Amino acid sequence: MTVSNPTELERRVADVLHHHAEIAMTTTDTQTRYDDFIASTESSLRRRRVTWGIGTAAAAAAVVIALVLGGLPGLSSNEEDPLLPARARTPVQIAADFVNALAAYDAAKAALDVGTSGDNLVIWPGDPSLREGLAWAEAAGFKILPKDCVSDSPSGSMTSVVTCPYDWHFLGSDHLGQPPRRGDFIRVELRGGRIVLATTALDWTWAGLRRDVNGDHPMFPLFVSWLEREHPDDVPAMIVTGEVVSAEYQRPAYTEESIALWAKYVDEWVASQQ
Amino acid sequence: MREVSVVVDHPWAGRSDAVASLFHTHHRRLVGLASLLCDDQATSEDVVQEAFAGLYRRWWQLRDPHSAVAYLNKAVVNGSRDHLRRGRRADASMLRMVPQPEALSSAEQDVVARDEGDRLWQAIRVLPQRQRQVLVLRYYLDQSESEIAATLKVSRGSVKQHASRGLVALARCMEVAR
Repeated sequence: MTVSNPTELERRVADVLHHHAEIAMTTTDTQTRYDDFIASTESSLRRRRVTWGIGTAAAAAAVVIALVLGGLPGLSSNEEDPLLPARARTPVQIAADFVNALAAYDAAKAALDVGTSGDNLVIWPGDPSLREGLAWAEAAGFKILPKDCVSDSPSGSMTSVVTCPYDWHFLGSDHLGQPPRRGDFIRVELRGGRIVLATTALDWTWAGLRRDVNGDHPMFPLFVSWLEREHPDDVPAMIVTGEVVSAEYQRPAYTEESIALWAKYVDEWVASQQ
Repeated sequence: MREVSVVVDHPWAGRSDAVASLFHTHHRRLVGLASLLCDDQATSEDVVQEAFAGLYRRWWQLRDPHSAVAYLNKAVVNGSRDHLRRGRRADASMLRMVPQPEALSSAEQDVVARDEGDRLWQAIRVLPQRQRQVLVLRYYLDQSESEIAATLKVSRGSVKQHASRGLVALARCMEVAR
């Protein structure tokens, strides 16, 4: 190895660091660690409430002062998530990474293993691009809670099929104390290690994006009624109607304006329901 | 950066949502960062968990939502340093687990058998802690000198000095290995 040129050495240092970081990154399980984090946080908060309940006002003031004095840095940061390079992974792992990226609303990571530019992903109503769909999902509180993916491929098949079940929340249902909906899945087809098709079993029409079907997931009609009452002028920018299968069917608009409104009003809706 | 703008664009988002989003977006990257500053995976995972717990506790003290990612980076760097210190103190109390100069020759013989990347990684691991931090922030997180200085609370001159010394040490180590 020639290391006399500092620039070459710097490049090699960067390569080595990224390589070793990637090993750690592929070993960790974000969802499991997140579950641990939530469990420990909730436990900590419970302990904290008890402590605060029996503590003196002076002690409470001291804690507040300590936290304020120990304020957090206001640094700007321009780092980006390093995108994992293609590596030898099983179809199940690739599909799981894809679904986890969807759950994290990370379009860049989700697109890493997709064969073409995401046009073959049929996950959201109206078939928006991956980035548009994820932006809306995040704004609308559509949260995927992934479970273990399983291979459905017949042996010897050129195309691998993986089914990734997930639970989900929508429109802040998690904040309203409702259990997640269960029983849906994303079906991922892969060829040559690339995702060539991804579809979801979740039927958005059935799930609530039409007003006459409200038995199983009534939140959407309730939300739209509230929206029309509270913010009637913004509804046309947020919801597209009358251009698909039936007059009752509606789908979100995926413009930047719409997504910002969805985020704002879903939060407001949740607050109004609590 | 999009991950930060999630928080900025949704200032009405609650703490739980914001931290959850940050966790899912940055957890893996931060484990990677911690792994470059600690010496084992389990410690790296613990350091990152502690960083998120700290962020959650102090969320309302954030002066600027942009600072959440910077806070996590800094918490991981400092947490790794603390774990490493504790680990090294424990090592020191355990009958000299750190290789002595005589032992280095055999250790080097093992290292020679590995590929160049492994040699360079081993050399990074034995750098003085500050040099290792500066090189990781510079070449992994791609931080500027001023960002590194702010993260480590040192001057830009000190950052330059540590980076330079670290690179010289690595170059020397690689020359020796050849």
